[in-house]
Amino acid sequence: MDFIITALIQGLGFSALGLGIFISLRIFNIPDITTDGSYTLGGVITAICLTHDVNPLLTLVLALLGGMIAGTLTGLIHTLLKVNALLAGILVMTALYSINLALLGRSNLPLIGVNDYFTMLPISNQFLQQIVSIIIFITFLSIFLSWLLKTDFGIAMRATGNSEAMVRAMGVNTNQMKIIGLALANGCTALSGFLLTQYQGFADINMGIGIVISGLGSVMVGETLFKPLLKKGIIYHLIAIVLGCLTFRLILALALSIGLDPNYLKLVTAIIVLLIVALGNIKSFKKI
Amino acid sequence: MIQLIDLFLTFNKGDANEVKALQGVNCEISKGDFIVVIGANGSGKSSLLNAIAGTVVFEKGSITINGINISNLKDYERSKFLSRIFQNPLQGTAHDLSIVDNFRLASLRTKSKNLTIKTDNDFEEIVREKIRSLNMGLEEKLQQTMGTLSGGQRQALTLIMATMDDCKIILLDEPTAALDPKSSAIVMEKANEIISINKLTAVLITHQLKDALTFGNRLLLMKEGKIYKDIPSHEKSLLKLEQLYDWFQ
Repeated sequence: MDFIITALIQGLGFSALGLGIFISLRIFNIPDITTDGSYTLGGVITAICLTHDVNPLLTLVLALLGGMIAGTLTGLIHTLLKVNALLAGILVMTALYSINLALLGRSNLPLIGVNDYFTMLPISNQFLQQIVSIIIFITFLSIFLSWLLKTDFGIAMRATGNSEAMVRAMGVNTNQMKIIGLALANGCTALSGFLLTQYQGFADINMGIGIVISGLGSVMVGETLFKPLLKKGIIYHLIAIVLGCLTFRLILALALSIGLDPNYLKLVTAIIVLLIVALGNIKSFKKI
Repeated sequence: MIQLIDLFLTFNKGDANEVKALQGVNCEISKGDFIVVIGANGSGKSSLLNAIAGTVVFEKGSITINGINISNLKDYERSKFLSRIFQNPLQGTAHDLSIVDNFRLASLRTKSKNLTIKTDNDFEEIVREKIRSLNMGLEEKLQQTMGTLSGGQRQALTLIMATMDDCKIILLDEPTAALDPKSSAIVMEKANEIISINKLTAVLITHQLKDALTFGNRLLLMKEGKIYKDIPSHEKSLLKLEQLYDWFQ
């Protein structure tokens, strides 16, 4: 049973990343590779701050800002220098590896006996404490994003991925919108780094490798399995993505529990994502 | 109202594929003019419209609207002055957004998009009233996404969307090119109605010579990046279809 609870907590922790991927992938049609770097950056900032006794909430804000700066850089490279969005993401992700290593000063920084976000909640049972505080976190984040996307600004943002020509004709600077969108997406991603670093008790320079693929996978699993939710409104769409993140972690945990060699975890992740994408394409292929 | 002064536009300058899209276009468009622009492919019609809309940067000349020089304004900054209708109805609307969200965005064309939620019942009622005039039954489908509607329906909606915010000038780039004959007729009738009721200044590009004769009070024929003929209202009403065909030869 333990592995299921672990998978649930991890899934919830990765939901912030899933919501970030939803913004970059579904709203702006950009599979944003920056994610790998901004997730680690969020974790690195968290580990450094907490080992220096910085208040967990201030740590949260700093991790968020770190991710937003990474996203802004990708956005600037993509819009101002007109570099392909995928390449812009890869460039920033690669650069972030060195920056993360420089910030961390070594490849791994453990959090031992520090006051973190979880310990702010006065519950003695550790599992309960972690689950409740992550649920509070994700609930606030989902409500905020759902509110944002329903505002006039959010409508303009959602329209940008559909038809740039139309949105510009409506008086919106679409370049600026993409930069803000990528900043927001990577801010969310860094928040996942913030949560999971504390959950696993350390920040590691390699913690972000391939994380973008599991994020993409989670979004796709959520949208495929919980399709009826998508049409009910934005908040339901976000809930479907959170459920997708949970499902994705459960699938991986089940695979491990039946004896999968952990070295094959990334392979399994890639195959799951490939299957979901391919199944969607094969369905539309049949219609033709 | 709109002054086009000596516009020059070249694509791929200095290249083997150099295209001289506009070669000294001068035109004065008065308030309330409904100008129809015709011409062969590559004659500079779309370049002219794009130069006004700001999606291409012309190398020489200037454009003023009510005496304000807009030559250096970006396309999204010119939305304060003009509404645009695209050739492709899929381009003029956001397919993942509901009808009401599309209308909300259109109602803010000249305004800033703030962090407030205003798609409430009052706003829906305004949209419903506007859409009812189309007689397409869409007024009961406000929460449906644009992507579920046909091209004709979407193009008809974009016309209404153009009038959601303060609108004095409207640019229409072959609005019926992607539509079937019946939808085309509906969209052109609706466009004409909206332009005359709201006393808009309009520039319409079309390949439909019949539409060019039926609609508008002034006709421009473009050839090789220049205005080849500029036919005022009283002469336009006497024009015959055969004459137009001849000019294309």
